[in-house]
Amino acid sequence: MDAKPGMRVPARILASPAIFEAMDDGVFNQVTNVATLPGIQQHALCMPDGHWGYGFPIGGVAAFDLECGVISPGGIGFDINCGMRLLRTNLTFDELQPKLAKLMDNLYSLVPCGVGSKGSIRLTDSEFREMTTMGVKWCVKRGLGRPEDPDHIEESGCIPEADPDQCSAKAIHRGLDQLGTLGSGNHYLEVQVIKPENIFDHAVAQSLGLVIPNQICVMVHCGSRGFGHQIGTDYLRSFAPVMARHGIVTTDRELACAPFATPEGRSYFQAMNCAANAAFANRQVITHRIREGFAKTFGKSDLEIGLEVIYDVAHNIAKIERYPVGGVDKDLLVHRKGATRSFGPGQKQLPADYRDIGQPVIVGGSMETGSYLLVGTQEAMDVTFGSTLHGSGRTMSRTKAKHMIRGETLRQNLLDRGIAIRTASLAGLAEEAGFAYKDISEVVATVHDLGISRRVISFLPIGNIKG
Amino acid sequence: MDRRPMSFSYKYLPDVAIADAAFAVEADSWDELFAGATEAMTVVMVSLADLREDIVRELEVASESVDQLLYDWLSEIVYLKDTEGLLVKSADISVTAANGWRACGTLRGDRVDRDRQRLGQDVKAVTYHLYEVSHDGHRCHAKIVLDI
Repeated sequence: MDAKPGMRVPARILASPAIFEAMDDGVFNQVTNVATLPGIQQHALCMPDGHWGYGFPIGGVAAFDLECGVISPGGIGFDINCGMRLLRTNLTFDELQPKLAKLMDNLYSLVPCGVGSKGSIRLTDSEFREMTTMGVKWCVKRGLGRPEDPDHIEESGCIPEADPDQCSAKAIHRGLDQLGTLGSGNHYLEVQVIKPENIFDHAVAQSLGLVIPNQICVMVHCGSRGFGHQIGTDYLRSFAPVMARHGIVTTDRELACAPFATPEGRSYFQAMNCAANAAFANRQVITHRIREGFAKTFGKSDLEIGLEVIYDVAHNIAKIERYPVGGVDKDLLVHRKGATRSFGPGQKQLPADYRDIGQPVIVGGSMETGSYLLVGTQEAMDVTFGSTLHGSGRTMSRTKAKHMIRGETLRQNLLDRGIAIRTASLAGLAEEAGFAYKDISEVVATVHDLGISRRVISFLPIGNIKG
Repeated sequence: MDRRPMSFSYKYLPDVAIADAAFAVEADSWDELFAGATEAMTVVMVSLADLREDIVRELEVASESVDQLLYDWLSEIVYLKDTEGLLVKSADISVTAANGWRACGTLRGDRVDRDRQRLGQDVKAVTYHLYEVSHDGHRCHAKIVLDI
């Protein structure tokens, strides 16, 4: 393809021929727009699960120079630190299945979801501010987690340089009573089983404590809720005059940005880090409720059930990371929007017990087709700024999906296949039907074959809560 | 404020934002365009027929241009949904342009209640993606993509 006027670096889309052919035109337009942003380094990237987003495509990755580059809310998304958490249990499918319906009822009552849902914890303004600087450590201090939980979370669930004074009063007010809520859209809480035939790398699976045939896991997909959404809204609006002052012109208002080395750019970074910490804390409170739900269902403590965090990783975020550029190691601001960090073995940022295997990469699929666990690689460090895919990627609009199937029909179809659904919205359920997404196995095979992450396990859903 | 009959139309745009919700709205006046956009956004979140009008609330928003005013108005409705649990069933709005643009309105709606309401998708934010607000000399138009 010809370069677009103003492109400072090439744009690269990572995809198999079939996935590439099926990608919508918006991906090509948006990834080339990203390549025009000031200070971008090496290339603008899109992962194979990419599709049309706002500003950046979903699946977009771009790294910027800290001195002459920008930070863009459109490269992170409104749902700051939308991400994935994976928990293991020591239960098997045969042990869980007779109590599946009861478990799903208990989890559905403990984890609020859907439009306008509120959590069970109401924070004061000062408590909320403290939470945004401490992340998961705040939850542990409040008895909403175990001391070892942060060990298996990206950045230990607490990103430094988070300043709540850079967040508007509206953002804080919007988040005050949403801690421990799922939201809606494609967010979910899913109970899953690992079939022995779906383990692709037994050694890595063993290192992650996944050693029991037909072992049960729980996956959570959600983010920073209204707090993060409001920060995105606030800064997207406020960056227009900043861009004018610095002579930055973009082809898309959603690519609004500020030079990182300005008070405005730094202010957004510090507010974004608050939202990232709030998202880690949100998934932690949900973890606490999951433990309560399992304990209530099985009449055993969550410790006896072995409910432990395997990993938690963001897929909407910007972080300062170090990569070689032109033969020189350099700190860069890496934007990932619908893309997951995929650090390879040996990286000091990884938990000590994962340093030999690489960082777990949790890839959420549809409630029909299942999800994947991969690990990061050195190739990702060399080629994609330590990044890989985040999901399977939509191929069909929400409107079309719900015209093709009714929510009640889909719920019954899934129940007939042994998948128990609890949802706050049947219309929303229909919008998330499996046929609205790419084939996750093909998307995962693409990143595996490219070497930017390595396939370990696939999970089959048996229970799903959707907002 | 007395309630006036509103005349607007809107349609959802299935091919514009595959992961989210997009709609186009048109009306004879800015007042009606804002009311139509408010209703179109509410319908993404809940079945309108399930909403009562028990809650009455005044809202005033000021902005530098009419297109920014509509963005800010809808963003405020999203904010009220999260902070007050308010789902707006109808809005009687007056849009004026004197010393900047201003929208003043009376919102009538209901609290979120999933036991008696058919809920849809939660709106995270109003986006600038393909965002358009215009007047063609006869009618007012807007195209809006909501982040879901």
